[in-house]
Amino acid sequence: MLGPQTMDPLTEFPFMEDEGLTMKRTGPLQDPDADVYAKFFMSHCCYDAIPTSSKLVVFDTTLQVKKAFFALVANGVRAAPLWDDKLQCFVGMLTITDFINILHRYYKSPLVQIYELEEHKIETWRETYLQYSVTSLISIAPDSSLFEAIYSLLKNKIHRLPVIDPETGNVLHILTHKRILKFLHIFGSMIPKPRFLQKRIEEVEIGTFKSIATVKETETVYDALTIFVERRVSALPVVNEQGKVVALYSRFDVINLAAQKTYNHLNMTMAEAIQGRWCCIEGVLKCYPHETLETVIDRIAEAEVHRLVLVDTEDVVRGIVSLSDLLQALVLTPAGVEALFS
Amino acid sequence: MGNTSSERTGMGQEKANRRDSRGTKEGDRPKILMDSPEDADIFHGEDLKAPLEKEEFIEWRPDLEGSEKTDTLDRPTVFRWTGAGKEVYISGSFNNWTNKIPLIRSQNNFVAIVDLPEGEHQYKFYVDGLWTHDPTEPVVTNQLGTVNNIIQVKKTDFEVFDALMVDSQKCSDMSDLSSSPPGPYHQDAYTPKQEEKFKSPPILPPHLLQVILNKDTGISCDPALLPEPNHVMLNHLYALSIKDGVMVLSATHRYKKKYVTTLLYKPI
Repeated sequence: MLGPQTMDPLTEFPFMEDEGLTMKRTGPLQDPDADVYAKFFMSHCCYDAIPTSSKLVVFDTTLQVKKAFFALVANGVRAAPLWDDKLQCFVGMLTITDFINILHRYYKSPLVQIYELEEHKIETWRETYLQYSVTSLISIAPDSSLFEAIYSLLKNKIHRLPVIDPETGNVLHILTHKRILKFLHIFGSMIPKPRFLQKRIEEVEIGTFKSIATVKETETVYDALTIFVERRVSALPVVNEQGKVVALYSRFDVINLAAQKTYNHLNMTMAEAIQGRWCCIEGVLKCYPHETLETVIDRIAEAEVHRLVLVDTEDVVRGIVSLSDLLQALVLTPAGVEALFS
Repeated sequence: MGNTSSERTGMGQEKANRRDSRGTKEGDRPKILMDSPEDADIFHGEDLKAPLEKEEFIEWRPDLEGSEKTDTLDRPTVFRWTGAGKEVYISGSFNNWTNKIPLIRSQNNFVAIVDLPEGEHQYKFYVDGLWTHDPTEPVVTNQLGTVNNIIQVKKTDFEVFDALMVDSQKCSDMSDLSSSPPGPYHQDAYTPKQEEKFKSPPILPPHLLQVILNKDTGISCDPALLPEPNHVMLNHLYALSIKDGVMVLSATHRYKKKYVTTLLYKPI
């Protein structure tokens, strides 16, 4: 039940008119400076977070799926807007998730060539995919505030939010959680730090701590793809028989199968896949329950990764702290918005 | 008689010296015809005319006093005697009638060039010992009844000088009167240097050859970041060679103060 008093402080937010929004408070605001980050992001627009000069890859919907993924690898990007020549507008995004879904759906054995990946066009794949979930392109205007961008990313459970100029219809940039946190890391030094940053991870309970998605090093890459499809997570800790984390397998590692042209060998084990990576990560980026929130944020921003693995003193996986969790806790929760768990 | 003859001989020698000092050429003609049967006539003639000659000299002095002297520039003036004669001299108001200037024989004429100041001058010819005037030229009669030639020296007289130059070029013995300064004169036609090469203009402005997507992006580990483009790169369409039936187009646009380089992958 929402009383009138609860509604008054939130009427200044334009997105409150969204019918699907569930508004509730996790509790009374304990600190007067808890919403300093929310105000910071409300006072800056998406234009500010756009780099001075950047590269953007766009695919025509008649392009073949295989060539599109090769182009993603060649340009070093992870997503591309899709341009429909008939509708003369952007109709969607092609991401690594699509690559994972195609491999998972059409893979049979190393001896059988994945015809759908080789010959299908992007529009063919979209027609098949849209039968199960009809979604339109979610975008944002450059004049909108970064607060709205964070809300849209978490609410729609997407990792790529294109910024489209409403006058020309051109895509200017693709916003990500990483880009927004980096923006905060660079310009946030101008504002005072809220006091809750000094709390420890185990106190604030930020992250996922139950039913953590992991994969054993003896399982196959195909098993990892299955978890990616079902759990909609961005990375999987690779654990050994004792439950200790030995590596991290992310969606970006899957797109490297296209670069190495080994997507026909999804039966190899996780241990083999990890050894075959050409960009070897020295170690898994971890965090510990006794570390403060500020330390975790600095580490994840400096390393430019999307998540840290929460481990105990014996390196056993205890949780995952991702950028989505951090942005929810830093920005939306103090404003009384629970977009991530709605 | 003898004194008179000796005086005249001495005067002739003095004139010869003067001629040498002036640098003019002397003819090889004998000055005195001693063996001629006409010698007696010459002597008698001179004896009879002596007083008359003195009277003429006395009569000339008033003219000298009346002549105007100007400081204008001297002009080369030509005097020509077309009558007969063996020795011809000229004298006039320009030298106060003090000395006789010899004329040089040129074919059938006697010619002399004297630098005279601009203005009016009176002169007379001394032909074979007789003072006479040229009846074909302007004359003037003074108060004593003496008839003298008169000449007006003007700037336009240079035209006569030029005509004389043309006339002198026809005679080899007159070439020393006037000549160009010594030195080599030639007319070499100007030929342009063959070393000058005309290069063709460049096909493209050089700065357009710097494609932003071909630059190294080592400034950051984010492959999506690019260096800031030059303004001349904006709104140009670049195309990559078609490969595997796919055409890649790129263009850089500006949005406020930000730049975005878009690559479009489109199958052919």
